[in-house]
Amino acid sequence: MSKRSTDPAPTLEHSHQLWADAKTIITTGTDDPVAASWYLTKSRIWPFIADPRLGPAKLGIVLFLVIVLSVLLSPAAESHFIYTDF
Amino acid sequence: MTSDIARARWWLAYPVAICLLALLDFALDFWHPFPARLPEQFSPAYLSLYLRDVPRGKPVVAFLGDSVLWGYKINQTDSAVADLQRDVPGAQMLNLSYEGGSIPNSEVMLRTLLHSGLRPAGIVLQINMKEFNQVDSAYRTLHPSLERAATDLLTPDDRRVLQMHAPTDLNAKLNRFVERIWQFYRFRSDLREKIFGTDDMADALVNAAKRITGTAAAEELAHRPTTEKFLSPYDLAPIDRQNVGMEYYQQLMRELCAAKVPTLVFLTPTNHRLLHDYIDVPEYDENLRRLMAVPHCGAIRIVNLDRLIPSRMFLDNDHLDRDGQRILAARLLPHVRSVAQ
Repeated sequence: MSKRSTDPAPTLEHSHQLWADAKTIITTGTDDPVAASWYLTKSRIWPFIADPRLGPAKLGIVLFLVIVLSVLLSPAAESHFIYTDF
Repeated sequence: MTSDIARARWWLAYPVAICLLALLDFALDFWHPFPARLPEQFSPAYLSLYLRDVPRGKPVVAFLGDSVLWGYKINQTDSAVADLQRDVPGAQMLNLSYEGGSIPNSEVMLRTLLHSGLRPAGIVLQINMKEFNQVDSAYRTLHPSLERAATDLLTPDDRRVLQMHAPTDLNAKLNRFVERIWQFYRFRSDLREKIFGTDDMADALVNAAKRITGTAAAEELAHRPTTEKFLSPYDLAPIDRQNVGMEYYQQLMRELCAAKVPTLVFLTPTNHRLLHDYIDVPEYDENLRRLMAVPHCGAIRIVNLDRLIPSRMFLDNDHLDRDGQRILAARLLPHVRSVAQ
């Protein structure tokens, strides 16, 4: 017979509380990740780009950062070798 | 203002991004890492760079082997090869060993080394008995990056005997196409390891969480070496000519003789206290004798270091701690000194 954990399962309210305490929530005023992302895009990234003269160059910089970071932060799948030691 | 923004030449963002990516690639041309040993997840491009950037002007001593020479679970500055670099500053040590090495890996690495145009003044070759065992995962498998770096050097016989693992699906073809035109992408696994200290950010986060929660310490305890864990790597059946390891061992000897490079071959120190019940038998010693007796020329010297290191200096069956690496370095020092002169 399998042993049951005596630890109480985390409640939805508890998870929400943790999320609501996060800095992003306080900044964006929403606990919906999609709405928070859109808020940050509009409030932080767009004002940086929205410039008739330098906007395209700034957007180019953002594009460059997105491409580089997506390569660096993506999971490694190229060269995993099965080690023989253990 | 809104109409001004709408009329802005937004398409310029693309050339700006492409120019920045080109600049990044240009900056990578000035990246010349030459660590004391290969990183854990080196890419084919990194291996080429490592061989290209060997400091010239000093005699080069190349080391071929597995995780024992690489320095498993110890800092790269504590390995025997790093010790030898300190002891013989007049020569350049080139540690081409890596985790998961084996005899076919060493043989193909030697071919890659010689093909790169580098002519080492001497070679130290580590032969590990456990890698002649068919259950060893590197018995007939090359490190994926070596397999790709040496694609043009592999013969039909290699492709028949070894198990080739380089993927050829559409995803792999697209990856290779992008790698050809984009240097940053070519070095992505090396850059990730440099930045995160492990394979990728996900692993770095998992490792950090394990450290914080104490899981890492618990796993370390569970990995404590016991005899049972290390019995399976050793096969006491006679090592004959049909053995893939033996086939590549003999091929190595022929290539080293043809290249006339002074070479020291050593049989890997083994933890006899841990494995006493299993390997302190005549069959094991007979296999050691077979490895010592492989045909070779005058440029090659084979030494048996199987019982060189006291058991307390092992981390497990064959990996050495800092003190064990020092003893190994001291044993290899005369050869390195003689070829460096």
